[in-house]
Amino acid sequence: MGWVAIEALSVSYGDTRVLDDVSLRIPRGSLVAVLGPSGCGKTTLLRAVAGLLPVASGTITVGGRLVTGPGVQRAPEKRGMGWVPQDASLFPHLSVGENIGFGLPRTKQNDDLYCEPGETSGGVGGLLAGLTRRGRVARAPVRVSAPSSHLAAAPISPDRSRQTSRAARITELATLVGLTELVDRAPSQLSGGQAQRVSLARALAPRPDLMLLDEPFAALDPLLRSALRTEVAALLRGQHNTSLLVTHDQEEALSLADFVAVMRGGEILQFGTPADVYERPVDPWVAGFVGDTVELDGHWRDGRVECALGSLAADWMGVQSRSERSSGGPMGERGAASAPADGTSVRVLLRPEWLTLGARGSAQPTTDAVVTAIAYAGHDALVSFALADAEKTAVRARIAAPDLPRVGDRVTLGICQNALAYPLE
Amino acid sequence: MTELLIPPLETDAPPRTPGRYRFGAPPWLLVLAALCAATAAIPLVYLVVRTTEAGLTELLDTLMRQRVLQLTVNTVLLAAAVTLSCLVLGTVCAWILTRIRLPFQRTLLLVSALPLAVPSYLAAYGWLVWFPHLNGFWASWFVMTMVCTPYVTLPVAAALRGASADLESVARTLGRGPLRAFAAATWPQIRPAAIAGALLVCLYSLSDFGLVSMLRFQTLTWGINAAYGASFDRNQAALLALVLVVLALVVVAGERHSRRQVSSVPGRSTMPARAPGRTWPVYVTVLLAAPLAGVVVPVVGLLTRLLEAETLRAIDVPRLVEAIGATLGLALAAAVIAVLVALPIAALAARYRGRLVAVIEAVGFLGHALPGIVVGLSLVFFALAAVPMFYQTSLVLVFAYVVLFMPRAIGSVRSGIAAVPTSLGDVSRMLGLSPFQAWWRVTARLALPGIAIGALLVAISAMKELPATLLLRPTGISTLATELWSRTALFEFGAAAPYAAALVLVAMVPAVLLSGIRGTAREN
Repeated sequence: MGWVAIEALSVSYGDTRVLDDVSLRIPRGSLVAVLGPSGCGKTTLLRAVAGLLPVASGTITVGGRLVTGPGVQRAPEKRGMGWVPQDASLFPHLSVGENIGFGLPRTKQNDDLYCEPGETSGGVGGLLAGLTRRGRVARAPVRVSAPSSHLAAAPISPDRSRQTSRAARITELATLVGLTELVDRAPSQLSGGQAQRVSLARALAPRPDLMLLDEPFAALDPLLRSALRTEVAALLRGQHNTSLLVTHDQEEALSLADFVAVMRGGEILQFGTPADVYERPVDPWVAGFVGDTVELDGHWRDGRVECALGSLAADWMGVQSRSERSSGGPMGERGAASAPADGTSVRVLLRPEWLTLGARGSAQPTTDAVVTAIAYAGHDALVSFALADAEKTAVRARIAAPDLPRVGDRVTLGICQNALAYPLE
Repeated sequence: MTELLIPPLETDAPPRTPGRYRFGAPPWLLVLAALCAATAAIPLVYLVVRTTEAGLTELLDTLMRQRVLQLTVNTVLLAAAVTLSCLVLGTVCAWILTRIRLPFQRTLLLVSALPLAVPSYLAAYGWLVWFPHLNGFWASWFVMTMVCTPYVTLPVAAALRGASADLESVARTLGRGPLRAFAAATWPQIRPAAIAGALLVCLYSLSDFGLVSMLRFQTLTWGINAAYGASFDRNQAALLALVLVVLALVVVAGERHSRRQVSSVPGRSTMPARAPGRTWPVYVTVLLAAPLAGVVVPVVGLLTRLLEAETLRAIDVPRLVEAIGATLGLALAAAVIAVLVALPIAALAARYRGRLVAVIEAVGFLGHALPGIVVGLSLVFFALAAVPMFYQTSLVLVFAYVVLFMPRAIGSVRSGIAAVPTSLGDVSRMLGLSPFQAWWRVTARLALPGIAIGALLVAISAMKELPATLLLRPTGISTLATELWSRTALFEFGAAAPYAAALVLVAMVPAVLLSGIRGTAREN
């Protein structure tokens, strides 16, 4: 576990601390999304992992190889990571094919040998490797003859150690991203989605140990965005890539990632599976950030909460110790913190889709309510209700389109899941 | 050709792109850029050292001499008069260019920028061909105004085109007449550009040597040259140079200050141009005044002289070819070295921010404020005192060109580099390139047009440079500019004509190259 391990990473710009003691473990072959509002430090985290900016403290290891640590700051070009920036950033002076092949070594004597960038052997050859093209050539045989000199020598897939010709690799990747006919085009002739595919192919070409994606879909229009991200996620999984994706789009993070890290103000608040993050958020802010919520005031009584919706079965989501929260590993079943004393004021939280129309399927007591407004979204609608017992309290439910009531209808509301109870701030 | 016509004003106000690094510059780049910038400071620093050596009392004594005062007053008067007339004429021209729908609008804009391509002394020569007895304040004022007007016209026209018309419309709906609405709503938007342009004019007329010398109006630059020529009083030359530098620095500080005040007003719509009706000849006459007086009259005068049988017979071909060769060689050397020296400064300024970066860049721009004659004089002293073996060699002359024209190189190289997104650098690093490989294969490759433009701008300026060349040229080497000058000084207008014509033609070579430079992005 933890192909990529980030431990206690801190980054500062001048006096401002942008990342504060961030830890994250990325299992091999998984796609981890870092989700947070703009300015939360997620892009900084990505750039620190890439080696594109200096860190104040902390360590980063990839496959057992230390790339950032005390006194160690491996150059970005020697980390063996792939980088897909937000705006694709294709080289405007090169064709699509040349862009894809940019990271593949090109030599006069040995044009077709493909070796891995980012892995250097020690000694003079390694020193030269970053500076000269000849260094790369010198590096290739070393790698083949003495693979055991690398800590990270274990290949991800069988073809990883195979030497492929440069041209063949370009064709392979162009095919992979579905742009075979466009290899001779100029980047200026591509659409936004095509450019982003080329950018992805370019990053994948040198077979990186870790793919870093910096909001790669943010600049695309919504329709294209959802189509492309599904495709890209499938592609990354198909290549058995370990990937770190940064995004501010909740839907993107939840739908694509194996694990989601929610960030705010330079700290990771929660790390877990998408379902874990959505259904068991660590605090109301995370809950509100990853989706719509229904929030009510209530009192804790013996495993239940008493609130405007009645007495509901609830899970206590009290504060865990910070060390436990930021240990970095994906948390499956969270160790339940000890429940509070009866009568404690709590914040009750539900998801709008946990509310159902009618008593059927309800695991909880039902409530009568009046429909006050409907925000129609096609596939479903967010329906606002005023509760019969407490008219000032408004709740919202996500109702599938065919079952929609009308404004003014009197309905019975059921609840199909345990409510979440949080301590008051 | 259009790049050539853009005054340096445009190139030294860079677009502040967001593509900068948030971290400090690498120390080696800072040191390298600081060293390069330091070379630009040599003339000024040495001039100050040299004058203070003479002692404070002698300094004050000389300063209060009748002669010095007279030269200073002349200089200031001329600069003020030219600035004022350029400001008025330039603003009116800019208004006509943007607000009146005249035929051939683009051509008219290009034509009104033309005087920038003619060195001031060439214009003066052209007028002397027609009127050999032209001299004094009014003659200098007139020719200088015609040559300098585009420095106001171009930035003001640009500002007018960018000015929001919404404000003026609002002022009209609130009851102001057209003129008062313009004064209340539009003038504040274009004022910074107008003042910056006017101060640039002021700087040029302060520094000008060739025009005032040919038209025999005694300003500081003329006085410096005369005092230097009378070699028994070099202290006075140094002192006059110091006075001139102080004046120039004040003007440049004012220009920088006014440029900072440019603020954009929200609002996208621009004022529609209106049809001129039957008054169009008036507008066209005003527009064409400067190009006619600054370009057409001198060039036609030059051509008539050139084509006279007597002139053609008297052309000293080997000497002319030699002067062309010297001009081209010196300009080429200056262009290459200036770009090399400008590169670290431009790379630093394009990518990093901070007080130290700003200081380094400002020092690199010092040559912009230094009159050519001052740089020439200071380097004479410097070469004699510090590196006597280089005195009277082309090396010192090329160095003077580098100091004087480095700002142009920095300006265009910087915009070239700033236009390359930093993300491309990141991507190439992540794809296995070392910092230098990434710079060479991506950043430098994409910034190449900007670098080439910088080199050509330096080459053009160096070809036309006169005062520093006069002081620093090695014995036996003449450029086209010095040949033209020395013949005109002796009233040999016919003998000067071939050199003037050759200068115009040779300076067109880089201009043509400039117009051929395109972006390097792949286009099918």
